[in-house]
Amino acid sequence: MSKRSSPNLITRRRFIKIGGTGAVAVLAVACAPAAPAAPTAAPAAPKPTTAPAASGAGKPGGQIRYAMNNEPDSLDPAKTAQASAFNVMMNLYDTLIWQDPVDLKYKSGLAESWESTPDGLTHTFKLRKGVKFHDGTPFNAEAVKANFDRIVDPATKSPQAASKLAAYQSTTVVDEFTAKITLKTQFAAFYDALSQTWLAIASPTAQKKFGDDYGRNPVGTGPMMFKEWVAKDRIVVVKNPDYNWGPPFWNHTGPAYLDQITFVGISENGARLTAFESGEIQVMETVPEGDFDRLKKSGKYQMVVARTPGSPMTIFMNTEKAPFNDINVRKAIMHGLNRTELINAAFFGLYSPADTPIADNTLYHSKKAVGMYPYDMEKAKKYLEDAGWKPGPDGVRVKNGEKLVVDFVDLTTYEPKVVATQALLKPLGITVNVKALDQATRVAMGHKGDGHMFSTALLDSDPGAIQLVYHSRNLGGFDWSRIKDAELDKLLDDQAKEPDTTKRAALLEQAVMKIMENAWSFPIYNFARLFGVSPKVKNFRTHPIGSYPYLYEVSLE
Amino acid sequence: MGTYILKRLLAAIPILIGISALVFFSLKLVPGDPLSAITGDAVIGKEEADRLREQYGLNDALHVQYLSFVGRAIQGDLGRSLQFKRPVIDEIRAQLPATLQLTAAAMVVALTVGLGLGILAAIRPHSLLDGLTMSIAMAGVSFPSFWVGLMLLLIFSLALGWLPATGTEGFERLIMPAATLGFGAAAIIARLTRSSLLEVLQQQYIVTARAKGLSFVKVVFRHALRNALIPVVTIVGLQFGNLLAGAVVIETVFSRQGIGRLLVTAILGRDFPLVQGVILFVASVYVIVNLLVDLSYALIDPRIRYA
Repeated sequence: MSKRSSPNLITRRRFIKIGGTGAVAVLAVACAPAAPAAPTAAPAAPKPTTAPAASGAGKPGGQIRYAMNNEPDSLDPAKTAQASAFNVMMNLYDTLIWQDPVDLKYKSGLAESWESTPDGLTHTFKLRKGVKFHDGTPFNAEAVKANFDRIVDPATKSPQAASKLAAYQSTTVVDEFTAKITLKTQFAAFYDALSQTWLAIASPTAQKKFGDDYGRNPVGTGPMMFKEWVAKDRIVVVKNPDYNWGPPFWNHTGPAYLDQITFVGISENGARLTAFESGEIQVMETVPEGDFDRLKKSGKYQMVVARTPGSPMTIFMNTEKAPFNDINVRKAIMHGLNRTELINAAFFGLYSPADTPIADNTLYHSKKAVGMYPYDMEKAKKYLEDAGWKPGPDGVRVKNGEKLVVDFVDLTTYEPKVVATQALLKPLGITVNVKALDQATRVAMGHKGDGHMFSTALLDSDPGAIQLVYHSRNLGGFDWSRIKDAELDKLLDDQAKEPDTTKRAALLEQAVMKIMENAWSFPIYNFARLFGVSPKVKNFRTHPIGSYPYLYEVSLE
Repeated sequence: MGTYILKRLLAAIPILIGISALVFFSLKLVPGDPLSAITGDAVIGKEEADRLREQYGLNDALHVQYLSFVGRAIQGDLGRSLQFKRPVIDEIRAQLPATLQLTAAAMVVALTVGLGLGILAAIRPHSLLDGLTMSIAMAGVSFPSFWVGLMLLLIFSLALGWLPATGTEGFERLIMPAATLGFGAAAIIARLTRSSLLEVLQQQYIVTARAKGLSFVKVVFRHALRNALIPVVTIVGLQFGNLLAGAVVIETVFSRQGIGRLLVTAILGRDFPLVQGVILFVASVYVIVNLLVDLSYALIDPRIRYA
């Protein structure tokens, strides 16, 4: 295992023994430099957490069943925003460029090389020759143009890809294998965006042929080909025998090892666990924290904590409402809520604590804000006293006859986190009401500011994505702290356009410091996806964005 | 009879319109943003969210949305699912066979077990056998089906490894869901069969039949049971509706395909067109089943006639 692995990375010693040839490669996630053009050394060094590919050929053949916690909505990269869809699409499609999970640089994919003009507005890609989509359509510059033009076409109603291409102006087909992309505005995260499967290249022939139903009949250039989708039951993909154009950092070349992968969506945790433990499925996503610990202790499985880059799981404090409109109360939370206790109580200590808005495995993570608010109960109490909140007769603090009561609105599956927060804030004299709801409701409440505390993590390989939760343009969206700060907005806007990585890092650091000084949010832990993997599955490791496994590399014992 | 059926079917139209309006407007009262159906768990910018709301027509006034829904529904178009981006009718069609299969199998379980236990209990009332069968029935009524389902999973999939825990394909994946779903209904049918049969067995014609020297078995099956079945058939019809409703839970517990699981996904995702479509469909099924139940009385009891 890589020495750079983060401490929360979990690999079973016994598995290493079973692995024999050292064909163990695990987990966690690397981050991604968003630098345009030639990859340069990152100014701030994040900690990549994915191990390099293990050497040694895997045995071709065999199939696995892979359980996710929901069924994808569509396998059209232009039309979905769901993690489960990304997971499947990564096998069906290729991107123009790929991000190496270890050295964090961009490597060739469907594009062999690329260059940018100094103004960062024009990017020319030399495309790989001899690549064919699964339906036989040749891959070329026309295909790139057709895909990107389709994504930005309002008729496509693209939920995610279109926002990644917000700066897109046009694509010019220079010749069959040269595509020139022009941007409207500078966009520092352009290469990062291109490396995400949302911008993968699909067969234009198939898109025309299937029209609105393309998402059920996906055709890409990837290592696996779509076979069938039985709604609410399974999605089956099979090996593409012609595949020979994977990124250079994969553990082999040529076709994938596995003959077939069957993806199933099982939302019920109990059923997903039973299917995994009875051997029906070989890879299980979203293992409940409590069961993760039990399965790990059983010694029968590879249990994987795969960290995601972006923002940690964070509590957002609604600054428009009392008591969090008072910075002293927010600072009291920053000092008074014990992160480690929270992670231990709610999540069996599986995650590593995080205390800044950009996770430490993400590009431009700055150490400057780390440790700014150490856990200190006395300090927390003093802040509350300064804010005028005095202990009441029943232990709950009171000010002007009002009790210090806040609503924590969260997803039902996150209820342990909310309950632990409630218990940990009680000694401070703060009463936390638990509001555990379904996703659609709690998101709507967050958008409306209906509540005092909300939480979410942000999965993105580019740290500029924090604007989604801190920029005032997202008030009424995911700016759940309801921050309206012109200075912060400017920092976030400037970094998004800054082509110089050093300057961009400095801008992001200033933004982070501003967020921390104002105590707008309470980062809790580094978000990670929890996998259970059968010991028969070899070479399981994950992709930088959102921790999706490279199933191309996987083989069976 | 034909006029009767036609009348009943025509009467269903206002019912379905009422249901559609009720569902449509109550969905709008439920908190939660239908945009979730499109964006899922993704964190997206407010500008993108506004753009998508506009593109998917979520900003239109309520009555406009409803009228356009009704207008299309009359022409047989239930709209497109926000979540799955394909016609609602295709989603229903894809899930229907699995639910029908599950419901039918559960009905077989319910009838076999329910009638069996009910008859056993009725022919030896207040005996040990009666006590035992009625205890089983009591358990069936009181254990929630999701719990029974999880217990079966625990025993037959995890501990014994005899049956697969999830999925739809094949007979072996039908056994546990059908047993779980059928068990609750079986319990109700058993209790009803017992009391109805006991009542009939007290009738004088039964005594006459016995006095004429017919065997007890013949009397029970040929004379008593047929008369005892009328209330049972009513409840079986109602149970069919319950089984459909129960499929929502069972399909989720066993991760089976089906209308129930489709509905859960649609509701959680605030996929309004899909929720509408599925509920209208299920409501139509209820209407038809009720009609069939009414018609079946005439088959069982020749004295009942419809005009």
